[in-house]
Amino acid sequence: MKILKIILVLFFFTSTCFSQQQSPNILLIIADDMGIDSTPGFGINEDLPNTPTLDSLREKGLSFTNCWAAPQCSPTRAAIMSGKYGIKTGVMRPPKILETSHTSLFTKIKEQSITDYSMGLIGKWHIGGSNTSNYSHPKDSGVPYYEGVFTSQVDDYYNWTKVNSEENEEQVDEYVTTHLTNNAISWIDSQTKPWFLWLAHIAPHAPFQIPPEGTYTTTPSNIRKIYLSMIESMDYEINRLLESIDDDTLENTVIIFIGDNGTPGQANNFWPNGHAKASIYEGGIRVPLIITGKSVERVNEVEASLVQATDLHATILELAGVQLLGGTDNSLSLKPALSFENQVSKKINYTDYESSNTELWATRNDTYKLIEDENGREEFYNIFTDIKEETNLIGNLTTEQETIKMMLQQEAQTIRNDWSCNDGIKNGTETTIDDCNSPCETTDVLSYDNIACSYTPSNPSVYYEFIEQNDRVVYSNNYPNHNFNYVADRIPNPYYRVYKFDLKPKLSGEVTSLTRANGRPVNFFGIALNGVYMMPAPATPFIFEDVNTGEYNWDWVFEPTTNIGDGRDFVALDCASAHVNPNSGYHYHGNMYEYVEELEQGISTLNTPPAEVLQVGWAADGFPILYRFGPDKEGNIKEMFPSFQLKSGLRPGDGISAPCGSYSGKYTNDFGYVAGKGDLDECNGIEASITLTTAQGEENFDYYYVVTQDFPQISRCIKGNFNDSFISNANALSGVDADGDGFVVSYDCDDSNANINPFATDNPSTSFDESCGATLSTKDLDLKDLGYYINSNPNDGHFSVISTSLEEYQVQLYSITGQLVLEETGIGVLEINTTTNAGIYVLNIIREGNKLGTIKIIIK
Amino acid sequence: MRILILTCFALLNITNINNLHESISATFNVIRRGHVLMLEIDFDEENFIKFGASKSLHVSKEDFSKYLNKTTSWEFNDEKLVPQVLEIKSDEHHTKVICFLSKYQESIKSVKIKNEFLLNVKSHSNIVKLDINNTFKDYRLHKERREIKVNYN
Repeated sequence: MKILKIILVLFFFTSTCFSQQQSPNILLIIADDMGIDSTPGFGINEDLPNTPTLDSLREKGLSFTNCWAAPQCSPTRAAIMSGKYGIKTGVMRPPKILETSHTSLFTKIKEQSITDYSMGLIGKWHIGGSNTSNYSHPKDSGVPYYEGVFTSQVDDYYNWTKVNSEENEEQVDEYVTTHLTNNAISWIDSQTKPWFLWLAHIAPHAPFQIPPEGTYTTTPSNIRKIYLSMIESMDYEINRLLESIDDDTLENTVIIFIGDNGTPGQANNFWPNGHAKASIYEGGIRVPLIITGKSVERVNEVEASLVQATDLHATILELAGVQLLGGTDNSLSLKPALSFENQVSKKINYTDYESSNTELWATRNDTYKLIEDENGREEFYNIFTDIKEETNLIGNLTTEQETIKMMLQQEAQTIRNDWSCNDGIKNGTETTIDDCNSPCETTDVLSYDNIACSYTPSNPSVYYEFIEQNDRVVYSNNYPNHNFNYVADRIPNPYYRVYKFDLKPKLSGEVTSLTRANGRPVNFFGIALNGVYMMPAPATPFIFEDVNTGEYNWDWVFEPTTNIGDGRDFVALDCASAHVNPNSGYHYHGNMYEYVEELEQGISTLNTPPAEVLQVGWAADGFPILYRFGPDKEGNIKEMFPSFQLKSGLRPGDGISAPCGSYSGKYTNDFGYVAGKGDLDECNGIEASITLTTAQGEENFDYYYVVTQDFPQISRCIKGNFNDSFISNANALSGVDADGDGFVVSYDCDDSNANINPFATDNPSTSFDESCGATLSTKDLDLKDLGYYINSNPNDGHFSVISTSLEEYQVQLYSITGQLVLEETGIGVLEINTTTNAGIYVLNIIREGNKLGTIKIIIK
Repeated sequence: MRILILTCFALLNITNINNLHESISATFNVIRRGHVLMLEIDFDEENFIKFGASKSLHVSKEDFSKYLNKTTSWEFNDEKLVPQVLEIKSDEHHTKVICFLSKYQESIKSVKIKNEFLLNVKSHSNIVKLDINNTFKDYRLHKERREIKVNYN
């Protein structure tokens, strides 16, 4: 319990400090009336503007190609501000007011983020109504700084009215995009703490006016071309804004670019008539979304999952450090998707609108889209093959399409009247994400309580290291030199192995997992300096089990470092985060508290780096393993932090064949590697020079691993050359240790005298070789150890020799007098049928001309 | 050359047993080794002696074979195989039994296994591992699930 408390305190301390230091600036740029048909990089239309800045944002970040918004600006802006669809806020068309009862994004950041953000909104507001004498001002929605335009547009880009935080009006004759950019530059430049800026451009909304010379390249020869030149001018100004931000600030800034709805009809040359802005067809609602900069690990990637402009609400909250369960209200956080693929758990997208006093809405899955209205009108399209929605499939649906239509219909009703159980968000009355009517109602229970150690060792703990050619060799009995505990009758017993690994290890350029491709553990990670091996990956029964078939799903193994203690479904690790496997001894799964405290008292809870690092073992590739602290690339000793984090959102499983529910840390696969998050690489190691005093004297290494406080604690992979002696099911040494000195008979020249073994010191006054000649080498193995068996013995002259080797072999049966009775050669099973007399015979097994061994055969 | 790194001789005795919870299970590993199909079984010796109809305080080939054949059945490609016990290795608490099943058949299309081994022990389960056809599958069988059928088509 004490250890748990320390961990929790450390976790709280480090996570709080981390969030303060890492809070990114957030720049949200909204373009007005810009669909995917007018944005390069979204795969449709060839008549596009030149947008080197947006191109650059795409190349440095993540583009969302299936992002929906509402068909007009006010509903989309209200959705981002509130995190709710129009049906929930009533803002389904302009110029409806977003009531302040819907807590705004700005208010939530102020109240819920642990970071004190500076916040501002510059540009178009248009969720405050149209009554010029009674606008709902941004400050009523918690916006602390504002300057911009309250209405849907300006009448003249070169002569327009600006409103500020004090509700004062100012007549401006500077081109709107240029002016708003200047305002943004000035505001950002004046910030001294992390900031969030909502920059809502008026462009490229009508009126279509030629922008200032030098800010565009397309010749503005018609409305479409003028529209494109206005986008180019905005692109130019976005570049000017980004160029104005100093490198350090920009490096810590996440940039989000989105269009608020589709291209307006006057500028449309791609969608069918009536399918552009202010329609619920793709031309009205499919908008570009790009997220880049700080927190975005996916570079120059495309995310095709179904997302919504509404999702920016939760995304920005999470970027600002607000912890959400998937998201909030109708808004799914896209933050997990910025680092990993397959993180968007929303399978059905939704949008709504009000036109001619009629409410209409659309839902879609990957392929099909259903449009409905309150008068019962229905349209159904395959938008994968018919993005222009020219062929309404209603009236001609296949059975599969009919099923999908019903599913979409049902989901739309749920969203409109309640809260979806398929949106990946904890909303409505859900107790956890989407737990309604799902098999995921139970909450994962984790355990961080190490089991106290009540027992002291009763055998010697043997770690015997020597050099053999280019290998470091360790003879070990895998028995702890510290107190331990055990579950049921699994008492730690000596488990004798010989490990070999590179004396001068080198990085192989590859990452070798400790598990098979299917997740099953196959390799030990390394060996501690007390001879106990390190095997972090769990085995049966701590695996997700198919509810129907009982088949283990090894993609989802219990993470031992979060399922530590005693009880159902826990791994039961003792005070050294170790336990015993049947037939394969005691081993460490995580932070080896009790062991490291034996080596250096206080090291497991030390808050400041020690003067000298602590080596705790050798990895299977020969690189050293340090505990918590190590030198960085400059040689400064510091605590080394891993680069993993808990994924957020929902697991993809169905709860039957794979776990569902929120990523909780219950399973190893709940964690993801985020390069650069901490100091260490994916194998919890670091390329840094280190000199250690080892059994061989001073040795230098260019890489080392670290046992860390946080996941994964012990690495799950290695980066050097893995040595097969660490394969988990490699042969242990057979034979007994009769004298109890820790050495089995084959490694002990006198197994009846505990004072004679390879550890012993030769006594010059005796004629004995107490140290066994100080050599260890390959020993003869029993035929069974080599995989040769007799079935059966004694027998009636008919028996089988069974070989588990692939090699051809020969058997020779001799009488007790040395007479050859029979000889057989073959592979696998050799059937022996002899009519010889009853008696004792000798069977030789020979392979490649070498006699492997002899077995006595009794024929009755 | 040899170098002593670390040795500890702690000689205090363990005086009692702490019965913490764990899942009690036996494992049955069906595995291709060379040209033969083997069955390797790990189980708790004490449970077998108490509940597995053992006639002695040790696991004998005869007792084990009888009990194994009584409580389990193994069908591969619709052919019933009888495990032949080749070796029994016991340490203080666990026993490993090596059995021969058959010569290896290159293509195993179906497997049917019934397993009630020690299911009279409270909370006992049997983990069956199939390391054949170049794939690995494993299953947990217990009182409510005593049989599995696996199709490799």
